[in-house]
Amino acid sequence: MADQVTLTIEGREVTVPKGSTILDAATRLGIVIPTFCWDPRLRSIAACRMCLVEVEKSPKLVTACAAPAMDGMVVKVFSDKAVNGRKAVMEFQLVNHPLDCPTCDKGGECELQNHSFSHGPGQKRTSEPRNRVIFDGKYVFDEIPIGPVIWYNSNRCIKCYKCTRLVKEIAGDADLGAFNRGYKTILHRHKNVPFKSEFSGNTVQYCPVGALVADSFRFKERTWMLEQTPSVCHLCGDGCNTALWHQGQKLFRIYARWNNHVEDGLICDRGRFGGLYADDERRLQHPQIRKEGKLVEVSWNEAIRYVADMLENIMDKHGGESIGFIGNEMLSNEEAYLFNRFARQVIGTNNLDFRFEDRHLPSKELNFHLLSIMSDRVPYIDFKKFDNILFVGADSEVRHPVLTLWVKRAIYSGASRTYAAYHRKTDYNLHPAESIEYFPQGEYNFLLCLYKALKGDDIKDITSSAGVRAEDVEKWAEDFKNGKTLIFAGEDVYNNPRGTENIQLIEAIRDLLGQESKVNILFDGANYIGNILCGATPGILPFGVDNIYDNRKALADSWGAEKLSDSEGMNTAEMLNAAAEGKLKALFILGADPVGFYPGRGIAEKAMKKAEFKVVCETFLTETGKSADVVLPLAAFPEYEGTLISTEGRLQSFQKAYETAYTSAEGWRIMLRIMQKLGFEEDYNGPEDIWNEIGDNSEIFSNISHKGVSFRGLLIDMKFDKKRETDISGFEAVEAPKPPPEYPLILTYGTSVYQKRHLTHYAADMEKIEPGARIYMNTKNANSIDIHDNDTVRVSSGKGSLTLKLTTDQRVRPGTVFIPTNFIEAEFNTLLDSKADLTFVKVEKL
Amino acid sequence: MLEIIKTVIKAIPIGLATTFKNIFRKPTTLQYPDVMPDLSPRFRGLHYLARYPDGTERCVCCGLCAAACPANCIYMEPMENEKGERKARIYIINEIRCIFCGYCEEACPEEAIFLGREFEFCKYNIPDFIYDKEMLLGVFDKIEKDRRVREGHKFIRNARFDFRSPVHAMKHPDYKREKTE
Ligand code: SF4
Ligand code: SF4
Ligand code: SF4
Ligand code: SF4
Ligand code: FES
Repeated sequence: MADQVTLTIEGREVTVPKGSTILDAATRLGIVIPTFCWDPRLRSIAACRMCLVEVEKSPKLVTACAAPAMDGMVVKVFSDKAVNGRKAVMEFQLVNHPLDCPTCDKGGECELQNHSFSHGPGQKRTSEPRNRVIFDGKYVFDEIPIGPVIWYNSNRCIKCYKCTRLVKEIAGDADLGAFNRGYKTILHRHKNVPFKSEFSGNTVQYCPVGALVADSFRFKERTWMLEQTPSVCHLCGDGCNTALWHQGQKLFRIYARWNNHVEDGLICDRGRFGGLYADDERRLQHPQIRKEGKLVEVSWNEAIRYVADMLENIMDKHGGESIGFIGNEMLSNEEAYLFNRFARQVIGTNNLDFRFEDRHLPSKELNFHLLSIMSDRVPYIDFKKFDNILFVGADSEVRHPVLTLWVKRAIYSGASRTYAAYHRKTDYNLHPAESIEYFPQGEYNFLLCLYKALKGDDIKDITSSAGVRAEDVEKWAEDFKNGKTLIFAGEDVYNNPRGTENIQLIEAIRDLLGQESKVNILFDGANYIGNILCGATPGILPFGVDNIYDNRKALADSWGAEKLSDSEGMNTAEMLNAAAEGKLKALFILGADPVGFYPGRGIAEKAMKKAEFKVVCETFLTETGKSADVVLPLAAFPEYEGTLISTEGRLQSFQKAYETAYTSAEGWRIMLRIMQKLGFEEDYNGPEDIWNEIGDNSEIFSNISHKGVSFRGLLIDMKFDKKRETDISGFEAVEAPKPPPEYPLILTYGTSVYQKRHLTHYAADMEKIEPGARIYMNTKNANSIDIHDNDTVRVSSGKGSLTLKLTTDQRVRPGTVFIPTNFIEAEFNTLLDSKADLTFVKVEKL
Repeated sequence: MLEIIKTVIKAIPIGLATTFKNIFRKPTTLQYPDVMPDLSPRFRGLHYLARYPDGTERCVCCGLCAAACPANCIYMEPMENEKGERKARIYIINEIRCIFCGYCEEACPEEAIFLGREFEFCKYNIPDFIYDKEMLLGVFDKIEKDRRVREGHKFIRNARFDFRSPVHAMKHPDYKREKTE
C-alpha cells in the first residue's frame, strides 16, 4: 500500500491516499475543522490560518488544509494549543472587522459569524478605532461597486483570496486582483476594467463573508427569511443545478446547488442573475383575446373556450393538417409530450416543432444520427481523459459556459489541449486554445480540409474555400494523430445547410482517429434532447420512434386514438413559409417568438398576418404576441415542475418553488384544458402523472420515477446505436462565399453570453451588464473604413437596416460582422433574408 | 344534621370577619381614566422606533426583531437611503397580534425598537392597529416631546440617547442627578 498513508487524528486512525491533506483525512473521520480559504476546487494557499491543528513533533501549529497527511502523523484538533491557536486567529481576523452584521447581507449565512461563535474569543481586547478602507468619498459606507452587478466592502473582507482564485483558476479571467499589502490589502478590479467575468456571480456565493454582495440581493432580504427550492437552470443546455431562494412569490436569488457531476457549484451569470426575470412585474397578467383589433383581458374560462372553439372550427373547415404547432426548446419533457399529444392526437397533424431560432433545421434522419452519436457520449467529468479537445462550430463559452469550465479544467490540469474552429475567435483567456477561423458557414469546407489532412491528402487547393491556412489545419491533424481526441460538434454544424454532410464528416474524422476518440454533440436549449425524445419534432414520435406507419399505429392504439395523421409534417421553417402562403390556417405557439428570433423577420411577420388564428402562450408579451389573436400568460420556471435533459444527456428534475403568479398557468395545464375542451378524455393532476405515462410507454425512461431523478440527475441510456454506413468519398469542397461589392461584409449572429432570447431582458441585472445591442467588427475592417469603437453605425442588407453602436473586437474574423440576437430593441432578423444562406451587409458611420 | 348546623354557624362569623376586615380598606379599583394606574418599571406597552440625536432612525432593517418575534407580527423590507445606508422602506408591527413579550427589544442590535409605556391606543378598526414606520417613529417623537416639556432638562436628551453607557451620560457637563422622591 505504497500510495496510502495512515495517520491518527484525535486518537482515531485513518488511511487516506497519498497527497491528501490533513483536512481531507479529518473530513473522512467526520471531524470538522473550520476553514475560510480552503475550497475543494481550488489549490490550497493557506491564507487564512483558520484551520490550524497541532501535529505532534511539529514545533508550530500547521494548517490542515495545506499540510499533506503523512504516515504515522499524530494530529490533535481539539488540544488546548490548537484551540487557542484558532482562537487567536479568529481574534486577529476580527481586529479590524466592522461587525456590521445587522446591515450586512451575508448575516445569517456568514462563515465568519459561525466560526467566531464557535471558535472565537467572544470579546475583543483592543479599543483602538478599527481600520477603514475608504475608496471614494462618494460611497460613504465603504461599499463600492466593483462590477456592474457586484459590490465590494473591503472592511469585511478577510483576504482569503477565494474570489480572485475562482475567477482566475477556474474561469480563466483576470479581471479581479489583490492590491497593497498587510491590513491595507484590497481586492479590486484592474484600473478602468469593470469586474465582468462571465462567472463573477460565483465570487458572491463563495465569499465566506459579506465582502462581495450581488446588487440584486443587496439590502433585499435576510437570508433566513428565504426558502430554497432545487431547480435546474433552463437558460442554456448545460443543465446546471440551481437553488431558487424565494419568499412567497418573490424570487430573490439563484445559487448553484453544487452537483459535482454537472456544474460543480459554479454557474454563469446568465443563470444566476438572468434567471431573476421570473417575477418581473412586466409579465403578462391576464389571458387576452383580440376583439375589434385590440387585445382585451378575459377570464381563463372564456379564453380556453374561445381557443377550443376556433381550433374546432378550423379543423372542421380545413382539417387538422392546417394547424401548426411551434414550441420552444425549454419545454420540459412532460410539456413536450403533451404538446405532441395535442398536435398528433387531438388535432391530428404532424406539423409541430420546438426549434424556431434557426432556419436550417436538422431533418429526421439527421436527428436520429445525432441521437445515435449521443448514445456514446462523454460526460463532463471525463473530458480530462482526452488529450485533445476540438470544438467545431460552437462558441462554447457563450453557448455552453459551464461545459467550457470543464474543458478549462481539463486544460488547466495539463491533461488536454484545446482547439477551437469557428467563424470567430472564441474566448479562452488564461486557458489558451488554438483557434482557426473559417468563413461563416464554412464548417463543411473546414471539416473536409481536416479530414483530408488526416488522411494525408494534399489540401492546398481547398483550404482557400474554407478561408483557413493549410499549415494550420495540417498542424492540427498532426496533433490529433497523437492521442485521444474529443470532438464537440456545435450547433452551427448541424443547423446548417450542409448539416448532414458535416455530421458524416465528423464521424469519418472520428473513425480516422480511432475508436478511442469520441464525438459529443452540443445542444443549445435546456431540453433539446428531451424535446426530440418526447415527440416534439414532426418526424420522430415520442420516445425516439420513427414516424412510420407501424409505429404510428402502435402509438395510436396505446393512446386509444383512432388514427394519427399520415402526412410528413412540417418543421418551423416550413410552417412559417406555409402560413405566409396561406396554406396553414392556425398557429399554436407555446413560449416561442418567431417574429423576434426566426432568422427572417419578414416571413415570420407575414405568417402571423396571413394565418387566420394565432394563439400565443408567453410569459412576457413578445413581438409575436402583439400580432396574435389570443395571448395566454405562461407561468415562469419557478412556478411549475418537470424534467429536463441537458446537453450531456442527463435527465434532471426541477421543482416548483411557488404557485403561479399573475394569473398565469403552466404550459401543460393550458394545453390540457384546451385538449379537454376538444374532446380529449384523459386527465392529469400534474407533470408527475404525465411522466408516469411517459415512463410506462418508453424503453428509455422506464423505471425512472419522477422523484427519482431529483438530486444527482441520471445519465440516460439512449439506445440509438444504429451504425450508419456513410460514404464521403465523393465530397467536394464548395465555393467560398463571395460578398457582392455593394455589401462587402458577411453577417453572423448568435446569442450573447449574458442573454437568453427576450427573457433575460427583463432581469434588471442583465441590463447593467450588457446595456443594449451592439455590432462587433474586426478592428482592421473598422479602421479601413474609418469607424472606431463606440461609433454609431448603420448596418444595412438588401432586406433592411439597423442603427447600432459599434464595438471593435479582435476576435471577429475580418470580413464579417457579428450581432448578438437577444436584444428586443435591435431587430437583428430584419436584416436577414429567409431564402439566402448567408446575409451580406454594409456598415456606414452615421 | 346537628353537625351541619354547627359548622354553618361557626363559618358565618369567619366569613364576615374577612368582610369587615376589608370593608374599611382603600379600594383597589382605580377611577380610570381620572386616576392613572401605577405602572411597573418593567411594563411593556406600545412600541416605538428610536432616532439618533440628529433625527435619523436607528433601525437598519436587519430583521432580527422579526426573527425573534413569537407572534410573527413584524414585517419589513429594506432599502438604501440617499446616504447609502441600509434603512427600512417598510416596517410594520401588527399591534393587535403582538403579545408584548418584548423579545423584539431584546433582539435589536441597534437599540432601535422599544416597548414604551403607552397602553392607551384602542381603536375602532382592527386595521388601525397596524403601525407602520412613520407611526412608530411618531410614537417616539411624542414621547420625546412630552419628556422635554415635562422635565425641561437638556441633559436628559443626551443621556437618553446614549443607551450604551449611562456612565458616559453622567460625565456630561449638563448632568444633574434627577431628584427622587
Ligand atoms: S461579514 Fe459576517 S461577520 Fe462581518 S459584518 Fe457581515 S455578517 Fe457580520
Ligand atoms: S472578497 Fe471575500 S472571497 Fe474575496 S478575499 Fe475577501 S473575503 Fe475572500
Ligand atoms: S413584543 Fe413580542 S410579540 Fe410583540 S412584536 Fe415584539 S417580539 Fe413580537
Ligand atoms: S428594530 Fe432593531 S432588530 Fe428590528 S430591524 Fe430594526 S435594527 Fe433590526
Ligand atoms: S483554510 Fe486552511 S489556511 Fe485557510
